Amino acid sequence: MKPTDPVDLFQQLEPPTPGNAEERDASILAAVHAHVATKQKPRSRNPWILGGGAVAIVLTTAAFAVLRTSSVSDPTAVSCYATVDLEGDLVALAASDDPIQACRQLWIDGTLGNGGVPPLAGCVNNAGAAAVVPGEGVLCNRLGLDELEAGLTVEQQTVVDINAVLIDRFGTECFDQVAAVEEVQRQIDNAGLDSWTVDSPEAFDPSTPCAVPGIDTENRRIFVIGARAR
Amino acid sequence: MRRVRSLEYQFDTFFTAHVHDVRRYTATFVKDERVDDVVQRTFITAWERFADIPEGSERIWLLGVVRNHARNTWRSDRRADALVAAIEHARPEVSVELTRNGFDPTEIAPLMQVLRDLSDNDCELMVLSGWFEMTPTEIGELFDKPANTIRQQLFRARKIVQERFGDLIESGKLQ
Repeated sequence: MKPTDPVDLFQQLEPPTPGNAEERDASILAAVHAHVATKQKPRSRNPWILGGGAVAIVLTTAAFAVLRTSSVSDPTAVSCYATVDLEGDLVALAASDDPIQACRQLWIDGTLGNGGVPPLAGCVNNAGAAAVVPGEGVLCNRLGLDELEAGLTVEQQTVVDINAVLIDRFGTECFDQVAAVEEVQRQIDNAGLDSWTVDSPEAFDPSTPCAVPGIDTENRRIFVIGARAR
Repeated sequence: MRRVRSLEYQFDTFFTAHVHDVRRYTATFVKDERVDDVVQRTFITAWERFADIPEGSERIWLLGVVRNHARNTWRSDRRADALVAAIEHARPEVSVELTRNGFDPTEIAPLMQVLRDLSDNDCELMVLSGWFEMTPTEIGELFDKPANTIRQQLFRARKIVQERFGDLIESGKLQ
């Protein structure tokens, strides 16, 4: 048999899109919405782009560093840094009730370096999300960040849980606007998040009939927008 | 009447329009279990810089972001290894298609061997040209290199593939 032109053969070899790609894309979009919900709207400035999100680093002008600790206001996002450099490599995780342990797992499985698991410091970045950096505790304050308080409050844990529920529900089913608002409200009620509201600010377009939720922790709001049918 | 859309709506439309290409391209860089992470990071960056994305060059801009994220985070992944793994992972389905198209599935093995030995740059040129049907001008925009340089590199990469593949077939070193 006459050999095929390998360049033509290569063209034919492109792997097909995975069968579950649409589901995975929906989860990614929901995670992106959840991640950016509490961030500022994008502007044509030059932010600190860290892959997992923009973090405005507060450079302290104080002569003495005061050790500060705080709890995350956005429990739906965790950034695991490969180095002490906040501009360096990181892996963004969607949510965890134990950010340090979640990042430690990335060191154990070799995703973040191959040299064993270093001591890890949990910090809170200025977006209110957990940032885990290799190093000891005072490191956070040196970076201008608060130290991460261990554990989550009941409300924070509930937000992590409802985030997972919403990704699951809306990633597998197409809700129209009315049904989506009802479903989110039902999940809010089930979770006992009494001070939280659901908001769908704009009518869905016919080309984007399926709802995608996003969590705005700062305003205790879950918003719903339209997306293309999956 | 032109309706003013919310930023979230615009971003959602942008995501839907490009996520397929971003996923395809990412899959040529990293192993399957890492693809979703890179795709997610790429679109978070896109959100942060939404206003700066050049109109008409959205795809090239996004693919550039994929390259940066994939390279920065997982430097240990060899480009060619990820590419070959992606093809081999899909091989059962592909083989059926190839047979239907008149290709001999046994030719895939030597091609995989050629790809494994290809430089990362040559691999990428093959992918962008062969799978994404990008022109040398578009690839040049992505690589920040003149189109003529890309044209020459692409010609050289294809020649390497053809020569090495031919050598393997001729010498009978099929795997």
